[in-house]
Amino acid sequence: MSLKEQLNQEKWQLRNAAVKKLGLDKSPENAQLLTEVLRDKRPSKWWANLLGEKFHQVGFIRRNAWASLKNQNPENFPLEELAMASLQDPYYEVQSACLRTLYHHLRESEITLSQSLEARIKARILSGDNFEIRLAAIPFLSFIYEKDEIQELAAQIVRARHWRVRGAFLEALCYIVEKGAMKREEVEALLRPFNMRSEYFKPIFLLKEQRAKLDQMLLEKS
Amino acid sequence: MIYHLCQYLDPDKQSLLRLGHAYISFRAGLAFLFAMAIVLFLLPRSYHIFVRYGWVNRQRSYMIDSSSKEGVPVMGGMHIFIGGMLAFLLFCDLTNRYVHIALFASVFSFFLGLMDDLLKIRDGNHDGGISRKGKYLVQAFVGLTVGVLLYSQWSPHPELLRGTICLPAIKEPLDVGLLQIPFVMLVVMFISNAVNFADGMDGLATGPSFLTFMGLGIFSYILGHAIWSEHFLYFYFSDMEGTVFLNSSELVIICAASMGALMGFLWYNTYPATIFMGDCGSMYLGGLLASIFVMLKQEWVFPILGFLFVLELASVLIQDWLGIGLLGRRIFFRAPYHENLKYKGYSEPKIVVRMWILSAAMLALALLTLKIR
Repeated sequence: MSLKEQLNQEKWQLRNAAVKKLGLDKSPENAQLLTEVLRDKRPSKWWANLLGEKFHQVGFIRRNAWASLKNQNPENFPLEELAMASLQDPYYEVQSACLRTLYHHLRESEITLSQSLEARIKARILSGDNFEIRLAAIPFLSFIYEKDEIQELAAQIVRARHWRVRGAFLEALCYIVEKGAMKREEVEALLRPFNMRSEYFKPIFLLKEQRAKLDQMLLEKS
Repeated sequence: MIYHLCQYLDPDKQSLLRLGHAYISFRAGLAFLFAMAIVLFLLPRSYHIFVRYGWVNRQRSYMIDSSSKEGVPVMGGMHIFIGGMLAFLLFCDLTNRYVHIALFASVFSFFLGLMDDLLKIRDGNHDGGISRKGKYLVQAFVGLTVGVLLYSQWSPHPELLRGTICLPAIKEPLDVGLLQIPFVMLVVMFISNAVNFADGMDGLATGPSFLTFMGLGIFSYILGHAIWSEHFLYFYFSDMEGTVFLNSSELVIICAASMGALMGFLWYNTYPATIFMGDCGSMYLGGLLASIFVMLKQEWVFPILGFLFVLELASVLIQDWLGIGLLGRRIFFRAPYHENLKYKGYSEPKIVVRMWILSAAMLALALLTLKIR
């Protein structure tokens, strides 16, 4: 069975496997097939709709289509159009996978984002609905925000409920510092209100670290 | 055995030896301390044997990740089993049928878990062991046997309670006849699996199991006590001599011994764990809890008293069967529920302690059902 045929199977597990396989090869045909999957907005069966899945191409398929698009050339598929649609997807993993793929291409292929897409990403950074989406959106800060905007945003993120969101902001700041986009004093001013609570605490098991070090040495010797 | 020895030496309850057979509370206290002492004594001494034979937790990669739980010995449930069993045998009335059924369910469940652990260790695969179907089959057998025993002439329950199910908030038991047997079987399978799923973090299954045994101990004491059961109108029939759950107080000893064994184990199992209980521990606890719940006819209290276990099992069922299996999407970020919290960024000790707090609150709620019926 060809991948195209597999994409038309009734069982979603088979279609999902096909979508994953499409990501293995970088080709315009595969990118086209993935685009069709993401454009497919046929409704799901009534019982699935009732239980929360709106589309025939179920959440995992839409999410994995975005993960597969990460390996495709962004010139071979309408990135902007698909991203605009997926950032309104009712399933959070589709939005976060879309943002991760978009970010990947932004860094690797130097694509440019339209103002409307930027606006949608900014909305995802600020929205507190789902922390996984925010985590995927925050790295865009280093690309789409001006210095003043970051200062405004920091004041909001510092109050984020999830420490991982606050942590993602710090990571984005690292990238900004690396690029030399902000001065040391400016970054320090942003960090001042951060509450470094013990949620950040991670224990260090020295015994395990020493054993890991020994394992590494043995691996290198063998 | 101490119970029978004391009874033999002091049948008229004239000397101090009467404490060893006439007072449930005294024996329960002794069973608690004894089981705890056994676990505290055995565990550090046998720990190195577990390591030497490679009975340790394995991850999928070769390298040790410093934050992983690789290399921590498993099958610590063996200590809970040994400590608990020795205390049962010493302090329980071994002619009591409640005790027989509890021993049957717990021993069978323990060996099922032990087999599962040993297969995982042999294959070096944490996801291996006995297949899911195989486990369900054995659990169904245990549940079916307990169901048949409770329905038969051999049951510790009086005639009028056989073939009945007790519903929440209703005083009179509901007559269901033979349907009691499959009901008991399903309850045993449900509870055994629920406890097994909760065993995913250091001390997560231990603390709530302790509190569940505490609640069950209180229930069995009240139900088996003529004055208290009359006070709460708990299956108390005036034409019968005392309570219909006469002799069920013996389960207090089993609950107390299990609590003691769990406390001894928690000493080493608290974060960061020195040892894990493994399937032999979680299945043993699940089997024992299930048998006590069905014998006391308090199955419907389990969703309250064992709220954490139900939460864990429900999250797995919803995520795996409904979400991933049927709808093709996640419902929770991760399942079981403690993994969901971990994914959100909560640290392990915080999740575990909060679950203990939640379990304590649910214990208080479960005790309210004694009166609200």
